[in-house]
Amino acid sequence: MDPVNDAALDREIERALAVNPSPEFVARVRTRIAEEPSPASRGFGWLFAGVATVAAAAALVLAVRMASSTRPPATAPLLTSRSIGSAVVVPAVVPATQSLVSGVSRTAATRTPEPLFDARETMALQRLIASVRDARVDLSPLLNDPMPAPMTLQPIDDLVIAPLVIEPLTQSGTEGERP
Amino acid sequence: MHGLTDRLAGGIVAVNDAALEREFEARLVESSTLAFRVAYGVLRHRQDAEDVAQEAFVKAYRSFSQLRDRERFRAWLVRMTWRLAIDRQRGDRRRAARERSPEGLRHLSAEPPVAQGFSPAALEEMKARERAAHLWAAIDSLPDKLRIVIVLAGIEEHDTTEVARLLDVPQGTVKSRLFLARQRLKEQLQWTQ
Repeated sequence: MDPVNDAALDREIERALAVNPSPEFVARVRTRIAEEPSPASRGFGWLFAGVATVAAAAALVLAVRMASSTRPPATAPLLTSRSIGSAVVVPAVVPATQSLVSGVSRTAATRTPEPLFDARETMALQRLIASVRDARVDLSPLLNDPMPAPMTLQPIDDLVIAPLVIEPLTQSGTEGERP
Repeated sequence: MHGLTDRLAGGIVAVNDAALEREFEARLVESSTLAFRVAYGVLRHRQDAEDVAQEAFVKAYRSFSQLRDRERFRAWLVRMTWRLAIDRQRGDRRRAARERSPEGLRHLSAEPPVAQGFSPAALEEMKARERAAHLWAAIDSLPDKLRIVIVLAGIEEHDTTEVARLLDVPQGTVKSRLFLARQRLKEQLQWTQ
């Protein structure tokens, strides 16, 4: 072999690579490919999957927006009971120098404190309203009765006040001595 | 409305299927030898090369509808086959290193063992095999970029334009890599003389 010659080298490589596949090779590949799903439906599958994903995402966004914009249902209680003793809300006092430090503290500082109700009072009012609604308590007498008369006082004539008597001072002993 | 859409989509898929399969069949016929030779250039084993080429065609078929420029099919297939063949070769070498047995080494050799006859023809064949073994050992030792150029040049009868198209690199790059590859091969083959 003359390996220094480029042409000889190229010839050697060409000769080594001049090999053909067996006659059955293409048929074998065809058989193997026949077991695969068709490439077009595979492409459309991806397309349909993409469209379905986008549609699902859009529906989700729409649902979230609608849920956030709707009010709470009428069956939910408008007033929730809170105990004054246990849930006293004190608004955070944030100095002006700290208000720009973090968005979180700024949000807490600007939040207005919620009104507080005594739980017992709230419960009593709710019970009363419910009882009136269910006709267990009739408040009509309160509406129909006239205003009660003011309390009558005793006449002043019955009072006797004794006249005031002032006894004169008596001088006994020397001045400055106690009797 | 939905039924109409489904029928329309089904019709499009069916028409597209048939067209794609006809096109792929044409590509398979025209490129089967190329894919086989690329794999053989790495593995030097007929059966292994056919297996790898078949695997490359199956992969190509799966992604064929996503290939926008069908004119680049050959380049795509060559690169895919090359990668698969290199992976197979590395796997074989690891397996051979693990086994370290005469059977394993025999499996790696491209052709059956040389006949023990010493007629002139047999001697000539032995010499040819020895030359080829040295040559391929030298080619295998090249870096991947030079190795694929020298193999593709051998397959494409040293048409550097075609090799550049297959590798998607400028023709000048192919020429310089080919020059470097030849230099290294000549050095190594002289060393083994």
